[in-house]
Formats: sequence, structure tokens, C-alpha cells
Amino acid sequence: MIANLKYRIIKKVVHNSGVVELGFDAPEIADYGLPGQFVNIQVSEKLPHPFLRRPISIHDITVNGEVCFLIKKVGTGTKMICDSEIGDELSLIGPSGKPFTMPNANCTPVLIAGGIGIAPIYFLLNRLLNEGFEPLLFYGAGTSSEILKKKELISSCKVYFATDDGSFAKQGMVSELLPQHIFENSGEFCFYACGPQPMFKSLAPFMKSHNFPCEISAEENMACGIGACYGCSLKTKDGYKRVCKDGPIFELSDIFEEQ
Amino acid sequence: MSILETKLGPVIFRNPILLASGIVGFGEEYRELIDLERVGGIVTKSISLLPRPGNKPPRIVETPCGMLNSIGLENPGLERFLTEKKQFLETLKTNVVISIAGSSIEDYVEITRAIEPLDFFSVLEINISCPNVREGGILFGKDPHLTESVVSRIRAVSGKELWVKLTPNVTDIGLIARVAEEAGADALALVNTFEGMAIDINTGKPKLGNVIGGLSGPAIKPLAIKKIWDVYQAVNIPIVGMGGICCWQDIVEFMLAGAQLVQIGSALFANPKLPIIAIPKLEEFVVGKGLNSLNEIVGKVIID
Repeated sequence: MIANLKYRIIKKVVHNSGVVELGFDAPEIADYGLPGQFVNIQVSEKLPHPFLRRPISIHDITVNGEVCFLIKKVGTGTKMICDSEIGDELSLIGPSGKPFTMPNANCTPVLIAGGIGIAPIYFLLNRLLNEGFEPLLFYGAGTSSEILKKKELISSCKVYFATDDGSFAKQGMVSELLPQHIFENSGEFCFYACGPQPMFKSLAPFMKSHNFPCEISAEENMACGIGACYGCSLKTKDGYKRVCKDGPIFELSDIFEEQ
Repeated sequence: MSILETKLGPVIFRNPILLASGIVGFGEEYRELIDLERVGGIVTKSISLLPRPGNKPPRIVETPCGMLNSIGLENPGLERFLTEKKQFLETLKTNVVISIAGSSIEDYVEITRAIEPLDFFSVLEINISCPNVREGGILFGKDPHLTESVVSRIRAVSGKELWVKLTPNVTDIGLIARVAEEAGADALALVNTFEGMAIDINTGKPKLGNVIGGLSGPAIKPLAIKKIWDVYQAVNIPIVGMGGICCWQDIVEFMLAGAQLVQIGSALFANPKLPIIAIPKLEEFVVGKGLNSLNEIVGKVIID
């Protein structure tokens, strides 16, 4: 079930570093949306530019049916979406794509977020907590002020932070924390990650050496967003796959094994 | 008869709006987003003889008021089209136009022969204008001799309505249009995308994995209209116009320039409901202008 409707913005929060959280009254998307899925948001009805929609992963779906997105301004399109105000209506197509796979009951889910990659990881975290799992979160950002929802995260699970500049917690990439802390915990692990390409690349050898399963949320420029145009194809070990339809959730080793 | 209905050869279109090749794949994915049976027809993704993996990513780059694509005709090939993709199209109660692309004239002929017996489609659109493949594609559409060969060879083996999809990347599109008409085309579809390129100034690399791509979207609309106007004056067969259509007013503009049917492409990505929204607006336009049918405006741009 994919909705293609206009929905009203009912919440707007401006976080640190200009990241904006928008909440939509979108019951159809709330009913079906799962962690890892995305919604293709129309930037503007009126202007011929920016022309394409922006695929944004679902950040949260609240109990009262509010669908939230955590959006970083990276260009004209995301800036215009972020400039929307409460009461504005935007056209949303979604929920789209393949969600994260929920772990087996005996598994400890380990969540890894880099920068704005916290957006879908947060939704997954909440669902895992609701399902009774005890997830661990590794969360890295460029600098202290880019870490979002810090208090909330700390109060809900065990979090290991890192910043590129060392302004908060450990200096370095979040992937560097993994080997050091993961084995403080015992049992079976399954990993979920969303972040920039260098983070995925640095995770690949660790996951491979321990034979850990690791699902990642991939990104590519998109046009149709529903699997018809083959514009967002990504190279995998099984050939090109569409990020919008075959993904955006892929097994890390399917994409980064060869690199 | 509806005021939007139009006929090209023996084929009746309930309205002049078709969905362009490469936009809706083979229709299935879009059925959740739009009632495909309300449009005049859908044009499939171009089918090649063998499966094509497509080009190196990134394949899409947004540009001012448009987009560059270099998908490279990724498609399952003739065999998997016949076994996996045609079933959905058979059930569709609107016109299906099958688009084909080849690396050689023999490819085009072989695909044409294989699909000729299928009775769920009435129109064959010959893609001789894809800018994103190395062999075939656009080469056939840039050279009048090759255009003549490919169209006449397909004409010889097909009783379907033949539309030839032209590239705008030529000096004299009227010449290619006349050649296609003389070789047996029943209509001409234009324009395919304009060749384009974009470079990332930080990395110094092209933004598309394939280096070059095809530009579409509202950015090309005035260029497309000029090409349609050129072809309208050069040939006597109908024109299926496209290139940046974003609203019902654009459809009227394309028809005034000479298009009898139109195809909507990239704008569907932004708004899949666009064709459905345009239908009642076009009806209002016809009534408001005191016309009997939208068809009456085709080529009726007034030049003082």
C-alpha cells in the first residue's frame, strides 16, 4: 500500500545545526510505514525547480499517527522542505522500499548511526524497544552540536558516542568504537547502520571478519521512487539493484565486499 | 464521442495524453499511484533483444528545471518481457505502445517479428534516439540513411502502427522526419532527451557515471516545441509531442505547435497525478473555446 496524497504538517522542530523535524498528519503512511522505509516528498507544487521529489526516510511514527522526518538541509530541495511551516501541505508518496528486517528474538540488535543517518535508526530503535529488545546504539557525528536527541537516546538505551573533532565523547569514527565495546556484551549480534559512505566502508572489514550480518540504508539520486525508472540503481555483488524498490535496505557485504 | 478523443490511423485514444517510454516501466509499479486506464495510452520501457544491465551509477542528476538521466536502457530483454512483463499489459484497458531499441537493424527486426503476433498492443514505437547507449540507439536517429533502413525494414515485417521516436540532437530534424515518413512511419514521436552533461566542481568529475546523459523536464519545453513546429511543417503524418510537459496548458501549447497526441515523461516523477488532473482541464478548455474537439487546435498556432 503506497499513499500518494497531500498531507498537512502538524509539527515542526528546529534541532541543532539547522536540522528540521517535520511531523505530518498522514494516517495512511502511519498505518503501513516500517523502519527503513522512505517517503518521496514533493518539494513544491508551483515551481519547476527543484523538479524532483526528495526521498526522505521515516524518522518516527507516533502512536497517534504522526509521521515524522528528520531533514538536513543539503541543497535547495531539502532547504525548501525544511522551510515549510505548520499548516502547510506537501504531497507525499510512500511508504516505499524494503524495511529493515527485524532480528531474531535471541539477538542483540546493534544500531550504528553516522550524522543524519540517525533519522531511520531512531525509528528502528523505538520499534525494537517496543518489541522488548535491548538494542545498543553507536552514534557518531562531525561535532558535538550535530548530535541530535542526545538525552532521549541516553535514557532509552546504551549509547556509545563519537565525534570527528572530539568535541563530545570519543574522537574518531563511530566504527572505531565497535571492536572495543561490542565484546563487552555477549551473545548473538545483528547490526543495522545508516550513515555516510566512509562509515559503511570502514564497517565492512569488521563485519566481514566476524561474519556479522549488517543491514544498511543506502542512498542514491532518485526519480520515480517506486521501481519503474531504474534511475537509482546501485552496484551490488548481484548486479545493479534499485535503491527505491530492492532497497534502500541492503546487506552491507552485498555492496561493499569488493571495495 | 468525447471531446478529447482522437484517432491516429485505426487506433482510438480516449484522450491525447500518453505516458512516455522509460517513465512507467511496464506499468505495474505505477498502478498504485495512478489509474492507468484513464490515460490515452502508456508507452513501455524500450525492449532490447537481450537484457541490458544499464549504465554505471549515478544515473540521475537534477539540473535547473529538469534532470539528466543516463539509465542506459536497463531492461529485461525480449524473452523476459514475453514471459514476465506482458501479462500485466494484456489486462490494461488502454492503448499499449511497445517501445523497442536495438544495437543493429537485425535486432530491431527480430524484436518486431517476435512481438508482431501479440494483439494487446496496437502501436510500435521505434526508439532510434536514446543518447545513453554506445552502439545503436541514437546513431540510427542521427543518420538519415540508417533511419531509412531501420524504419523500412521494420515496416516490411509489421502491420502495427509505427511511430518513430526522433532525437532532437540533429541539425535538421525536418530531414530525418521526412526520411522516416517516406520509409513508412505512421507517426513521429518527438522529442527524446537533449544530450547533456554536468560536472561536480568539487571532485572535478562528471556527475553522471556515464559522463553524458539526456536532459528532460520543463527546461527543454521551448526547445521541444520548436522541434515539433519544424517537423509539423516538414511532414504530413501525425506528431506525438513531448519534452517537458508539466501541466494542461503545456499540452495545449504542444498541440498548437502540431502535436496530435502528447506524452508525459519526467513530470510524472514529480506528480504522478498530473495526467488525471489535466483531463478535466482540457475538457473545460475545449468548451470554453467553443470547439467541438481538442483535435481542432492541432498545428493551429497563429502566425501573423
